Amino acid sequence: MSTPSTGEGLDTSQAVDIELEQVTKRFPGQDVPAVEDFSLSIPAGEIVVFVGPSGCGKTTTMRMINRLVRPTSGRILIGGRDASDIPSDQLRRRIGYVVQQAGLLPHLTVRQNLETVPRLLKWDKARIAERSSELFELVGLPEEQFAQRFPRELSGGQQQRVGVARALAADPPVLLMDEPFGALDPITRDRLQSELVKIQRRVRKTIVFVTHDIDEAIKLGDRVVVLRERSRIAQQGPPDEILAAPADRYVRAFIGGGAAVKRLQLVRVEDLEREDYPAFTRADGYDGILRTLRERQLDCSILLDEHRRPTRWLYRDELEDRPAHPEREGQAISGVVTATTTLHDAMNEMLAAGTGVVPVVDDQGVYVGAVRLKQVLAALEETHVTPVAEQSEAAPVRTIEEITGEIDGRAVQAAIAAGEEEATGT
Amino acid sequence: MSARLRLLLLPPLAVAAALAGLYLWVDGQQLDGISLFALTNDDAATSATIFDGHVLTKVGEHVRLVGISAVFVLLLGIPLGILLTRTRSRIVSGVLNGFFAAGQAAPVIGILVLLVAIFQLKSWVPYVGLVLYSVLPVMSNTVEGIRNVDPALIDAARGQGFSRWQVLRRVELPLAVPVMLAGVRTALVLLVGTATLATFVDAGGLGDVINDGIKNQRDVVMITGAVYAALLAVTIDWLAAIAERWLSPRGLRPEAGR
Repeated sequence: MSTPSTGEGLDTSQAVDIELEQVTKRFPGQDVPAVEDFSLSIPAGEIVVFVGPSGCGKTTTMRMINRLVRPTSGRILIGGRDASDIPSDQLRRRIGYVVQQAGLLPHLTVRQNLETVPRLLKWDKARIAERSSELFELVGLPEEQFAQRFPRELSGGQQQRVGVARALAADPPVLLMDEPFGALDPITRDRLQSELVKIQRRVRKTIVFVTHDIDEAIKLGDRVVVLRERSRIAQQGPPDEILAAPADRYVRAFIGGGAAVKRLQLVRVEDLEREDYPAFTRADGYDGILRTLRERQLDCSILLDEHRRPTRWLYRDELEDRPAHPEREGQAISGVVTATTTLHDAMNEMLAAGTGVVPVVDDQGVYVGAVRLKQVLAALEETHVTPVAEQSEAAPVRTIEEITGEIDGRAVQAAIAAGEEEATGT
Repeated sequence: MSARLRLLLLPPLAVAAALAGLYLWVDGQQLDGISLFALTNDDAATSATIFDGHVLTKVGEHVRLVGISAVFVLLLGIPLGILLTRTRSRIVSGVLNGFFAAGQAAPVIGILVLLVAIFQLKSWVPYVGLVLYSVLPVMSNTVEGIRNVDPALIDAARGQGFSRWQVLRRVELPLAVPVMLAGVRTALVLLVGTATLATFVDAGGLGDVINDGIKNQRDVVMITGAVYAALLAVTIDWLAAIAERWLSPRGLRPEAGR
């Protein structure tokens, strides 16, 4: 042990790099290894996403990093230290772990759940309390409102926020996330994904993220590692590279159709110029609002509440027809976006609202501007530098699989998965 | 008032009503010397009620039989249940389950007689018989409670760095508590019933009163003992239900949700 003073393996909270060297896992009684000769360098402070069909060994690969699965052969270096030199329980206390459906202990309050690992590490009380407050703030749950509640009293999204906070509790250098957002509804999933990006900008951990969802991989990954069966690497690289130049038919099928639209996952609202879209509070009064709309030749504006959070769309024609209270006019605003929302999700919000505009808010939900559908479309054209479609046309022969792969990647994924199941005789 | 709360208030009221009824009934009976002696243990007694010192002593003896046996049932049943969830050995689980299932299947009276035949009338004999008879529900409910814990939760706890012992103590056992308590409740009720047989190994309890009534053909005495035993079972079951409610982790209780 190089750190006999504490007996802990990873004393740092600074992100460290992870090196997997020719790692193989063979489960007893299975002829085919679950993970075969897997080598990968994971740079410190990046989100690396393992993506592949179910049963490809991606989760097993990840679980070898915190030794929930012991490698049959090969080495895993975390921050330059061989993970097998560190006692497993000590190692895991220094690696954050987020699982699907959060895995919170149902008999403990949110606060007790957050404090488990710091307690295991025997932090003193003041430090634990201070850290908990930081964590509540970090994941956007008001402490006074949530600390004493039990997991079952929380929505799925809130539970997973706590799950992320719990993993970060002891400020570990590494975070492992096993399909953390897989069980959430699409809207909550999009929001938590955006928030993870935001959190990562603050904490800068080395994150290994496992998913079967290529869109999620593209959206979150600094690097994406596309895996095929036995956890063999089909392609790895930055997401735009994988979208622009899929290494082979398998990767192309996995990406599926609409690669150009997928690239909207790589651009975020903060990359666009925010428009100073007109917004009013009740204090502006009906006449003031209508006058401004007429002056600026606008049809629509946003009504803010007393905390300057967007609440309703106001339409000029409605205001002119029925001079009444502006707060009862128009239509409730269904969705807002933040700086780290991807254009893909922003576009979804716009289409769902049917307005072609979506309000942008800051961390406190305060209105800071708006973005328009035409800006998103312009960004789409810009990202469309190397059209994937042209590349595949350039390929001399196209198989049925390739064509269907472009039509519906998920169907092909399912077919691949089904084929594997047949092959393993289940 | 919630339905659950009403269910918790009902048993003590029913027990009180039944006791009052029994009291009035016995009070209205003409009791001869044998009955009077059986209820009061006093040759000179001229009247008797069901609240006489002797009867209450027997109730106390009965509670002590049940209480001491229950302690040993817990001390034996819970660790054995935990052991069964830790071992993959079919032999260990087969032997334990078989032994205590046989203990429950065999008539207690037979076991008691057998123990006396071998060890004579030792004071621990009734406890061994009672414990053997009622370990099974505690042991198997401990196993069931622990096996029912979501494996994903255990995985998440292991992933956070809980040792196996910490997983058992801080995850599996707390989550198994409701099922385990249900087993304890069953065991307690079994114990109240079977403790009436302790009279045959000279260990006292309400069995003495019932047996006096049977031997002397005095129905009043027999019924007094039997009704007391039944009411004791209801009362202990009620106390166990309250314990179940308060000892179950708050986060698991249905009313914790809104």
